[in-house]
Amino acid sequence: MSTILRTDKITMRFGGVTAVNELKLDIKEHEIVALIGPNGAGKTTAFNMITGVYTPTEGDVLYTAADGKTHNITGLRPSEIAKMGISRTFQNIRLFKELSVYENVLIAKHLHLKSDFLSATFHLPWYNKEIKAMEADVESLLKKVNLWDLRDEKASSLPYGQQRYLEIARALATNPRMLLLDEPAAGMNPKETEELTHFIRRIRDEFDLTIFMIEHHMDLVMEISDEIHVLDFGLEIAKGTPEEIQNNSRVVEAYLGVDEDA
Amino acid sequence: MSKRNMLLTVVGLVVLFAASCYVQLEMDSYTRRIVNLCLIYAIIGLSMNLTNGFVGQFSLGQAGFMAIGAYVVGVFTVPVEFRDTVFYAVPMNPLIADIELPLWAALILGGIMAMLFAFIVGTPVLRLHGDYLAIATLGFSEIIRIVITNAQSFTNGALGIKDIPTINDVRFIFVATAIVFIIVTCLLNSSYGRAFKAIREDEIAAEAMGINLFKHKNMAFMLSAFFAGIGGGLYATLLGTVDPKNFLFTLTYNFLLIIVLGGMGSITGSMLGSIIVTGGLEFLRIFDEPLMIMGMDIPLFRPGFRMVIFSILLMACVLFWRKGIMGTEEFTWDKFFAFCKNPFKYIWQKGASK
Repeated sequence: MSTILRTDKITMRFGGVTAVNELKLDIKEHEIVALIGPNGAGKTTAFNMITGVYTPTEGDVLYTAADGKTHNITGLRPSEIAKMGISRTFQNIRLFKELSVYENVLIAKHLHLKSDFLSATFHLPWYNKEIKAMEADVESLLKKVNLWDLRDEKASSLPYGQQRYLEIARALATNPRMLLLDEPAAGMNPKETEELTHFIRRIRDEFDLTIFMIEHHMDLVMEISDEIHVLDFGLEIAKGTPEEIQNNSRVVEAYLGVDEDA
Repeated sequence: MSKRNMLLTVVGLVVLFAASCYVQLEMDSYTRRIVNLCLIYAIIGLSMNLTNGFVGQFSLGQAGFMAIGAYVVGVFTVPVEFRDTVFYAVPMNPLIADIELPLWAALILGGIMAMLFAFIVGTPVLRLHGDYLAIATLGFSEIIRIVITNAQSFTNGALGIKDIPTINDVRFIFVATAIVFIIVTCLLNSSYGRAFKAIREDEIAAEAMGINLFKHKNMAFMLSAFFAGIGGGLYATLLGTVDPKNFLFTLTYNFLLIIVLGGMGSITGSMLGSIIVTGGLEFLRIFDEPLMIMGMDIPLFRPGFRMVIFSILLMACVLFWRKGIMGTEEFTWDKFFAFCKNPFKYIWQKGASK
């Protein structure tokens, strides 16, 4: 399988603090890769560097597009990166709160709109045709996440779990090839987490996605990941399959601390 | 929009046009002037709402963009034979001395000039956020005014331009207002309008969803300037004279008041706000006149008292409708009928949903 995203020793420094130090990732197409680590390990910072929110202090992010060409996406704007096919969700849900569920997803289709704003303003035929196709996509997406009946509700009025699903649906609406999920199961109970596990697998197969996620629920991570990277204080301390990570002494140390008496 | 609502909207516009004909033909010139001012302020209020209410960028440059529109109309519609008397101090620059445009062309040219200026200003300024953006745009609006004051061979400087052919015609101004409102409504109901609202709700999320922040902010800013320019041009034809002092930055606050009162992010709210602020201030004039009750002169009733009343009313409005009268809602026929059927139930449900 070919690589879709590679980071070449990306480092992020904020003043004297090194949030992420020389992180090397090599994510293959169609894989589910998890990034785990204790609080403050630099996981979200790594996400922000890949999606363009931050420009890495050092190192490059390389993305292989659908046509097989590899692009250096370091320092591009988040909107440009989204257009290339990397979409994301946020740790602290960032929906368009005052807008309806339906609009939230429809907005994410805007980046593929070809009509200019004049033809959009006057609702010219080619614009209407594009919008019709978008609306059909949004309908099928919302039905997949069981939010179609709630489409006219304000996004902020949804319960927490459904807001998570709405955020994923919105990210899917940009037609990504790679989806970055920042703690998708945060605040979910074990049953909901299990549902989410199935859901992530299902969208991976259905949309032919590569999934890169940050997660703290170990049952979820261990069940679906093909590969796990462990960060601690910005340094990668381990990587490998779920079994390898579970038996890695450094990971256990990072999570539980070292036994002083030993 | 359903067929029925579409039809109702068209009927509503026709009725309003008929009302504007009635005002034009039957009412006195004082009423006509107030109605005209309401309509023009509504255009400019709406243009300000586009950046402030829909894209959520706090910009205070409206007076400057208005000035550009007003001066373009002023310079190009004054008949060529009057120009020597208008420009008596410094003769008009020969480049434009012989160009006279019909009003509609001057209005559109004014809008385009304002839009070009917004593009030049917006490129550096729209990287700022919140208060900083407000200060920068306010500064640029003053720069426009100072440039106008000093470019005497083009604008006649501090003397202002007089003898602009006036059109105190409610019908014409109503049609212009209706066109602007329809275009803005269509724009905001398109994919671009939704992108604007997404930027208002959450810039980081909007950018992560592929919306180019800079392009969309700049686009909204330019459109806002365009409509403000047209509004300014109409203002010039209404007054018949333009003067740099008309476009002090305090004028911008008038529109800020309109949109905060009407609702940031509401098209119909801009109209409502304009009617309340412009019409209301005139209505309150009774408080400026001395009042005698049973032979006693009530001491509070004197010139300026209406501003006290107006301020109290404003405070009450802001206390009870924190997001303005309309908030981000719009007037729709469905809501209108729900309200007509059972006003108390409608208000009750509205309160409950908050």
